[in-house]
This record gives sequence, C-alpha cells and structure tokens, in this order.
Amino acid sequence: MNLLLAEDNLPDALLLKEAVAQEDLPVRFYVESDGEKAIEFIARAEQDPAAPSPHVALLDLNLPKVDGFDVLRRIRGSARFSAVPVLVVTSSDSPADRKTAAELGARYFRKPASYSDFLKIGPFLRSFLEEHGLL
Amino acid sequence: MRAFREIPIRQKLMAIVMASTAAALLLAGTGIVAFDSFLYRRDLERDLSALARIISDNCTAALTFNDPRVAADTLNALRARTHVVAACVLGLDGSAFARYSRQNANAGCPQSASADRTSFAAGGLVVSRAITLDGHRLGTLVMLYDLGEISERTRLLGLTVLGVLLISSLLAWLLSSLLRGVIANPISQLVSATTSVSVTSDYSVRVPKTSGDELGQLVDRFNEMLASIESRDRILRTALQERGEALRDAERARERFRFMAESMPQKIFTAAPDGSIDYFNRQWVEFTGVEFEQLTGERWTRFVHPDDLEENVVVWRRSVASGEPFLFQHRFRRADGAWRWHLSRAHAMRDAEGRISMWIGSNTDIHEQKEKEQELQRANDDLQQFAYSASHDLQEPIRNVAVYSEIVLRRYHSVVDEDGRQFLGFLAEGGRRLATLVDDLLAYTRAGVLESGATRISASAVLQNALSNLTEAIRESRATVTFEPLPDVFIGEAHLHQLFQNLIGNAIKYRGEDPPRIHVSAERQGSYWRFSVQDNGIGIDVQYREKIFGVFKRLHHDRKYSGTGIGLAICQRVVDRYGGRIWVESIPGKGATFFFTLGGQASEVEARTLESAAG
Repeated sequence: MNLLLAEDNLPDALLLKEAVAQEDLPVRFYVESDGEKAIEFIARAEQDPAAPSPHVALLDLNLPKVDGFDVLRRIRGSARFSAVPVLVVTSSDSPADRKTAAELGARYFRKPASYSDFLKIGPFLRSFLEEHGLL
Repeated sequence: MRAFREIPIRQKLMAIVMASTAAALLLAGTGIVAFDSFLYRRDLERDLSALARIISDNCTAALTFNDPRVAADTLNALRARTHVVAACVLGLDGSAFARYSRQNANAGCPQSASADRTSFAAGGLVVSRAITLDGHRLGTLVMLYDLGEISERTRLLGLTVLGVLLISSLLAWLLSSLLRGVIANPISQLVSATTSVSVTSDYSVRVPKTSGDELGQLVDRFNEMLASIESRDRILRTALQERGEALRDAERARERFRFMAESMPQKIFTAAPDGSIDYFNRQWVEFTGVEFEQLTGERWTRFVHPDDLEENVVVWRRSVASGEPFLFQHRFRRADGAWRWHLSRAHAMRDAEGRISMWIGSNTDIHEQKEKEQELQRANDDLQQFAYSASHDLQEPIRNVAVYSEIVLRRYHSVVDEDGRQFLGFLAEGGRRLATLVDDLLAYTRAGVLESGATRISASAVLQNALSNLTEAIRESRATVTFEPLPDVFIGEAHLHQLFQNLIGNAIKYRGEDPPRIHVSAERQGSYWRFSVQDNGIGIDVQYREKIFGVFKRLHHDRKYSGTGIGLAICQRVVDRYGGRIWVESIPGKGATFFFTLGGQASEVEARTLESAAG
C-alpha cells in the first residue's frame, strides 16, 4: 500500500514513520517535502502507469510553495484519485482548518507535543484504513 | 268622519257623550210617546164604546115610543163630553130620529156603514151602536168624536220629551265637562310630557298618576320607559364624557410625545400596527432634506442603501407580523448624498388587550462607530490570522524539542547519566508546557474577538461536541456528566465550545477522592440565560473566587493539577465579549458551581454596545 506523505518538517516525517512502523502497518512511504512536489507525484501517477499510485495520503497544511489544502483539492479533482482517503496531519488548531478539511472529505489529526500522544497516530491510521477497506 | 278624527280627545269625548245621550233619550222618548198614544186610543175606544152603549140603552124607550124629544134629551147629555162633535139616533130606515151637535158645530150625522163599529174617519172617530130591545133592532146610534184631544196630548208629550232631552243634554254636557278630565287630562299630560321630552331631551320629567285604570297603567309604563331611557341616557352621557376625556388625554399624550420626539437629538419615527410609517421627527426631515410627507408610508425606503433595503424590509415585516422588537443596522442617505450607518430599533406599543396600537422607533447614527468597528474587525481578523500562523509556526519547533528530547530520553537512556536524564526530562516537560501555553494564548486571543459567525446555535449540540473532545479525560477519571436540555443562544460556536470544554475540563481536573459528578443546566433570567456547571470536586476557597479568572493565575503547583492558568481567563473573556458575567460559588471540599450568563439575542448585546458608544 502506497502512502503519500506531504511534510516539510523532517522530525515530524520521522515521527510519523515511526508511529506507522510501531503499529506494523503494511505501507510504503512516499514523502514529498512541499505541496508542489506532492501535486507532481499525483500528476505522475495519473499519467504514468508505471509510477506509484497513492492509496492513502497524509497531508501537512503549512507546506512550502503550495499548501496542503491545495494538494487535497488536486486529489479530489483527480479522475483517478478523487476517492483516495486523506488524513490532514497538522499543528494547526484552527476551527476554520478543521471545517475546510471536513468539507473536502478529509479526516483531521492534530500533532501533539508529546511522544506517546504522537504515536497514537498509528492506531488512528489503522482504524482509518480499516474504515476505507484498505486493511 | 275624517274631521271627527282630527278634533281633540276632549271634544271627541264630549261629542260621543252628547250623541249617545241624545240618541238614547230620543229613542226612549219616541217609544214612550208611541206607547202612550196606543194606550190612549185603546182606552178612548173602550170609553166611547161604553158611552155609546149607555146612550143607546137610554134611547130604547124613545124609539119604542117614537118620542124624538126624549132621544134628543138623552143625546144632549153628551155636552159634558166636549170632544163629541155630533151624535144621531137613526131609525131602521137610516133617517135621523134625533140628533145632537156640539155648539158652533153644524155637523150632519156621521156616516156609518154598519152597527157596533168604531172606525177612524176623516173628521175623527166614528162610533156606531145598534139600539136593540129584547133582541129586536130598533135603530142605530152614531157618534163623531174629534181627535183634538189626541193631538193635544201628543203635542204635550212631544214637548215634554223635548224638554227632557234638552235638560238631559245640558246635564250630560255639564257632567261630561266635569268628567272628561278624568280621561283627557292624563292623556294631555302624556302628550305634553312627550312633547317636552322630544323638544328638550330632558328625560327626568314624570307624568303624575291620577288613576289605577288602563290610563294609570299607561302613565306607569310611560314613566318606567322614561326612567329607563333616562338611565341609559345618563350612561351614554357618562361614556361620551369619558371618551371625550380619553380623547383629550390621548391628544395631550400625542402632543407630549411629539414635543419630546421633536426635541430629541435622535431620529424618531412611529408606525401604524400594519407597519406603515406615519411619523418622522424633525431630525429626519433635516437629515434627508425632504419634507415629512415624502417619507411616510413606504416612501422612506428610497433613503435606504440598495444593498441593505431587501433585508431591511424583510426584517421589518417580520417584526410587524410577530410583534417582536425590530433591530437593524443599515445605511441612510443624507441630504448631501452621503450614506450613513444607523442602528434602528422599534418596539411595539400594546393596548390593554395586548393588541399592538403603534410602533415607536429610533434611528441612531452609528457611522463613526461602525467604521471603527469595521476597522477593528479588520484588525481583529489580521490579529487572529497572525495568531494562528504564529501558533502554528511556534508549535512545530516546540514539538520537535519536546518530542525528540523524549525520544532521546527513551532511546539513549543508557548513554546519559542520571543528571542528563533529568535535564532531558525538563526539556520534554518544558516543551509540552510551552506547546500548551501557545495553544492557550491563541485561544485567549480568539476569545476576545467577536466572531462574525455569531448566530443562534444550540447549546446542547455544542456541549455534546465539547464532551466528545473530553472523552479520554472522562473515561480516565470515571466521571459522570449529566445535563438538562439547553437553550439556543447567540454566540460564536467556538466560543461556547471553549466555555464548556474549559469548565468541564476543570471540573474533571480538580476532582476530589470520588469520581467526578458534573451537571450542566441553564435557567432563563429575564433576557438572559444562566448556565451552570456543577461539580463535586475540591472546590475553591472564597478568597480566590475572583483571582482564578485572571490570566496565568493558578492555585496549584503540583503536577496533579497541571495547567497554564489561562482556561478561566479565556472563559471570562468570552463571556465579557457577549455582555455576560461569569462567577463561581463553592464550598471547599464539597464542590464548585460555575455560572455564566449569555443573552438570548447576541444582536441586542451588540446594539447596546454600539448605542452606548454613539451616546
């Protein structure tokens, strides 16, 4: 299972990978460090059958160049990947952001400031994938 | 007959009495005369018949002996009867045997057809009598008796009757003159009373009752009728008088209102119950530069900004239909063409029956405040955006410090010594606290900003939402949260969410030995709702009841009650922003109840703020 992670903060990317590894989820990470690169990844997958296709996407919101919601909109606007489950993983606690994510059909996970809390994203992701029939 | 109908009752009564008296007397008189005449004639006939028999008996001898002289003497005895005109004794051959005639009368023997007969002839009554002796007829006696006696008697009787008639009539006239008053007077009095009532409208007159008969009853009924009309008239007069006074009062009140409205610095209007505006004060005329007549009815809408007009009309009609107060912010065009923001409000005045009698409204120029408010809103929006970005951008490095010091502490546990582990622990803890502080500061910033999305929201729904965020804490502490149905309130959803989450979070955090029992309820207090969050926790000492609402104010420093000391400050700020109040009542060791009030209409709160700013 291919997981597209759009995250510019390396420490967070590592933490996410660790949470996934601890939960022992069968996913392969494709990490893009800005919004533009994430969109390019999707475009490649749409055009090139040989390129990896995302089965699930984890998006940070505050990304360089193009922000996470634009990446999310690109996915929802895609012919092939509009139904891909998306989880917004962000430091933001803004109600507006939560609302926008919900409107675009994405789940929301706020990054916590403690290691054990952060690792909770593992079980959260597992149930999320199960909900979408990916596990 | 028609003429008779027209004459007064008095004369009518007289005429009736006189006519009936005369008719009765006339009839009686005629009857008496006729009967008397009949009796007299019968007696006369008998008398004459008896006389004839005597005479004829006395003449028997004279005829037998053929001695006319004796017969003549016998006849001469008739002198005593002055009305015997002539008498003859006739022989069997019909020739006169003897004769008698009254002095001065030279009558021949009266003609007689047969004997023993009495008949009226032209000259008078003729009596014939056969003169017989032992059954043999000797001759015939014939007498003529004039009717002068009868005529005279009849004349006398007629005169008597006439005299009686005259005297009776006179008596009847006198009596009826005296008695007609019995009937005519009450009627006249009734007539004069009705005339007086109809002319003067004075219903206090009464007709004196003089008899117990139908006329008396008529007088009684008439008096009763007058009394009833009089009392109704009095009630009507009183009602009219009161109405007149009420109208004068209303006019005075109107005058007073006009005077007040004209002298107010604010724009004032009034509307009919159907919502059509019927009055604008002088300030309106000065503001718009047009005459009063060009504003009334629906004409004022020409001065409302086109962007505001549609909603304005909808909101106004809604108020008019429901009777709810009207409250609206809109722009009006000034005489120089400038659009000025106004805050308009109107309240329905109701009469004793609760029906709307009129609307009274004011329009306050809030243009400067509105502009400042808009500036402030922009500044707020900017600040809010900045706060979010700052918070977000701060969170990332803080999180890295906190999380990674924790990772180092776990993964490289054996590499660092005891001091190193402690210091790494400080780093992790400090980072977490810093992250919480940044979050709380953001929340505190947001609490002071009026969200433009303050709408009517269900407090129950927001409470459920807040509870779902606290699921973990509720489960861990084995807390029970109960709540009553909560009302709809006007507040930003995030703000109410914050209130519930902080207060219930505190109730869980500051728990005692027993599992927390928390109860949320709301109670209407005038135009406000008073919410309460009650717990069975450790409570708060009375001296700290004010202090706890300050920023960074905490009562506990042990790890058990961790926190930044900003939660209640946020609550205070939110409630302040909506014109409400927050306070706590507590018995230390037994629990605490936090109360806060919120208006049912956030717009009312906003309007009050704006108006007080506009002075």
